[in-house]
Amino acid sequence: MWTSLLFASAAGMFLMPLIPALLELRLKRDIEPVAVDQANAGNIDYFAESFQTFITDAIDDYQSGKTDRLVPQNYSLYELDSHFQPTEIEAKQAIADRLIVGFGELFLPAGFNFNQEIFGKRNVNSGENCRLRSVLALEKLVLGKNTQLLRWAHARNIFAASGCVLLGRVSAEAEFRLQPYCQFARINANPIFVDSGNDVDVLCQASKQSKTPVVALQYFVDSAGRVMLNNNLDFPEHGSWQGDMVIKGDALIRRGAYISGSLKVYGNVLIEPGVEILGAIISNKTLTIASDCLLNGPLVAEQVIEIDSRCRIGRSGVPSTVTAPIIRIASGTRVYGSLWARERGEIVDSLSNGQRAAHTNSKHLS
Amino acid sequence: MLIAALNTISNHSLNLNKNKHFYMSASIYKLVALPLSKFHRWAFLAVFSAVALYTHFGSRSLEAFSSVLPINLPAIVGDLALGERIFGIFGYFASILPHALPELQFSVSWLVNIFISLFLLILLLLFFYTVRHYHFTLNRLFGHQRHPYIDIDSADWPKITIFIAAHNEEAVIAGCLEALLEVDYPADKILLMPLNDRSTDRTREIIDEFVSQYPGRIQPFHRTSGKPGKAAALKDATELVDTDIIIVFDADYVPAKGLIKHLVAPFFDPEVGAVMGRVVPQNVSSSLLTRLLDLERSAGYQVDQQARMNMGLVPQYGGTVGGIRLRALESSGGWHDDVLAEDTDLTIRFLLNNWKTVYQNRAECYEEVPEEWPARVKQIKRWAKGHNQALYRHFRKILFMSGLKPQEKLDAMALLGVYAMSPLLIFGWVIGIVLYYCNLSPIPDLALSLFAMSAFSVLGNFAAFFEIAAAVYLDGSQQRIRLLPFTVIGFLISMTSISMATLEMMADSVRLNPRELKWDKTPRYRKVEVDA
Repeated sequence: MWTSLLFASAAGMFLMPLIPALLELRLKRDIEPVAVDQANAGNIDYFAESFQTFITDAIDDYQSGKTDRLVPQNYSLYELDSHFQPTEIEAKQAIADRLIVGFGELFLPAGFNFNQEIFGKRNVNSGENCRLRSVLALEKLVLGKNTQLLRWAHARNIFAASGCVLLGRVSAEAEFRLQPYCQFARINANPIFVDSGNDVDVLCQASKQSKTPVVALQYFVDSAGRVMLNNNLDFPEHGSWQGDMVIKGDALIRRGAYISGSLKVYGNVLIEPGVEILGAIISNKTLTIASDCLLNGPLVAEQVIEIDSRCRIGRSGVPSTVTAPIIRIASGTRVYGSLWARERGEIVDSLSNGQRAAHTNSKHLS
Repeated sequence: MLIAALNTISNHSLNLNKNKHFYMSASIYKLVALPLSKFHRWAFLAVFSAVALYTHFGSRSLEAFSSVLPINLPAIVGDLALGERIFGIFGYFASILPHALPELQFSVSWLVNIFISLFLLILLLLFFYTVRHYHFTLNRLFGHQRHPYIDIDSADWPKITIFIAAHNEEAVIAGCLEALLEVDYPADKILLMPLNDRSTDRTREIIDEFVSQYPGRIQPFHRTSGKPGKAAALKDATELVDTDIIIVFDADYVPAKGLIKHLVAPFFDPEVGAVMGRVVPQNVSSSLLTRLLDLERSAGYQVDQQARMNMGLVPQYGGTVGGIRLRALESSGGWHDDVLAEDTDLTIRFLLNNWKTVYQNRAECYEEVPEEWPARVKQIKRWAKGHNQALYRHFRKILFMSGLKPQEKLDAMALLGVYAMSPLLIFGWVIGIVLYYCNLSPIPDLALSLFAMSAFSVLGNFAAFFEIAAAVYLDGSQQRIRLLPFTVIGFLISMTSISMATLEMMADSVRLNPRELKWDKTPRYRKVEVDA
């Protein structure tokens, strides 16, 4: 009897830690595959598209006399050009907690928090110091000074006045203009103009014809035609090169150089004024681009990207991406495609003032 | 005359058993060296061993030695397979050392010393792998996460070709093609190329239906002859491609809409030769095995691969849900259709030719995993053989390659060696048990405990328990972590299968007519949809 008890208790002690496992095996409480969103391509306007589908259906219902979709949203609907009319409590708290739908041009008062989506069939204009959750405007979206956007916005054209903080995804089908001291996370347009001033022509000095080809023997070129350098690159002024480069040190591309290829740099990259590079630039550290450069391919840095004034990234019909944890862009630069700053993106007057701008606006993101 | 006699004997022994050559060498040595003084015996032993080792490990210019030594070395060592060499070398030393050094008489204590040394060596390797996996896990949980290419969403996307490897895939090929036709990538820059490798079911018919339905978007490659297997099919199909980038899927994969851009984006980096996405099991609920494989895959990708990416090590190209730059492939020697793990082989060859492999953790794709243990055993044995083949081919090249960061080199060697750890682990267990129970071991109990603890933590492909826990946490899964104790079943079966595969390979290497390495297709479990 004692022997049986001993064996039973030993078996029990052995099996006890397995009880949760055996239960899970039997009950199958967590048997769904790890979720992979098959439909979401990660496009910047994904949420705007979903919202547009919803709101289009809701408006169709409304026009046929049904409000089933809108009622749960606690909506306000403005059929003509109109200013948002807060209730007494809303005005007191400066908070609007309802879906706002405008068929005409919509004007939002300054200093208000809008905690639900805003839809404008035409333009949407926010006052200064507003706080918006999400906005979809089928024509133009104007964000007043120091306005904060929390989730997403999409419009045909967007204008963000000085000091705006765009925390979510913001995309324009056509033009996106940002004034200095704006901050951004992920924005996309064709093109993105930095500063609302006059369009400034890029004064790029690079041109394929006028360049002196760099003597190939200076570099080790591998069997795939890539330059492989184990140390720093000092690319000569007005030199030209055709082919990709992999640099395991830092890279300095001097004034007026022309490179028809992509660059991978393990260290820091400094590009002097007037350089043209047709391919991508990938840096494991920082990428600093002086004024008047033409860069066609994606720009990727694992730390910081700084782009000085009057540069052009991508070109019409051939978009590009600028991505790094921290991005600083000076006035006058134009980007066709996406800017994606994982930690902080900011527009500055010029790069020398960048730190000041960062300091001034850091409170917005904190 | 004596030497002529010995040569005759050794030539004769060739017909009996090649391993006897080494014992013959020992006999020669005994005759020549024993009458000498101690100093001369040492000197003679050194020269004789150097010659023997050199000739056994790769030189075919034995005639050069024969001209110096009055012995017919080519007849003695011949052109031996790896297994013969290894066993021969052991035999050689076992027979020669006691005679060479009478002061080190062959004894139990001497054998024990050898076993202890081997045990400590295995323990060291286990310890290294354990530390490596803890390092990966901690990095994944608390370290800086690198996804440098994930945010490239606008670009002048390059033209690409997508290979869909298919052999009797009537159950799944339509789903894969449908998903690929829907992906978010410029339609004029993407060409689908199903590689139908002599299917005998309706695969060809289904593909041709799609071709007529989507003119200009699909270019089928119906393969009816040539060497069987995925690597051979890829090799043949690559000849037909005019894009620089190819993406490879197996027919059972169902790519998400944004997957292709995630896989192509890293190719803007001119250093990138291959890209690997994350594979996610879809048929998790089918059996205990699929649930364990789900945990294992999570750990392998979510922790191991991403940690390697974070630390700038060597993420592994997995052969599917991945992309390859053809320029990199060409400069690395093209496809090798005689390998069983073309993915590991390519990863290492790319590294040897200064091309990086990168891992995109958010490029996720569903796959089917084996639902039955025999299929799983076959799969892992194939992987083990392929991996060990790559170890044999590339370990030395990696070891002596210049220009690699030391940590990259170490990681590449660890990657190559991971399947060799299973037989070593079993060997270590046997030695440890014998030494412990025969009371012969001066090894402290702590070392034995370390050994036991490390065993479950080292074997990379079948992930360590703490990696699984971290992966489940990172994936946000809930209850499945409770299955963790069952992973020991998968561990034991994998370890046994891998050890068997390794022994089979060694046995093949000593056969005069070794069997050709065979590629076993993993079965599909989705049912064919039948029109009503």
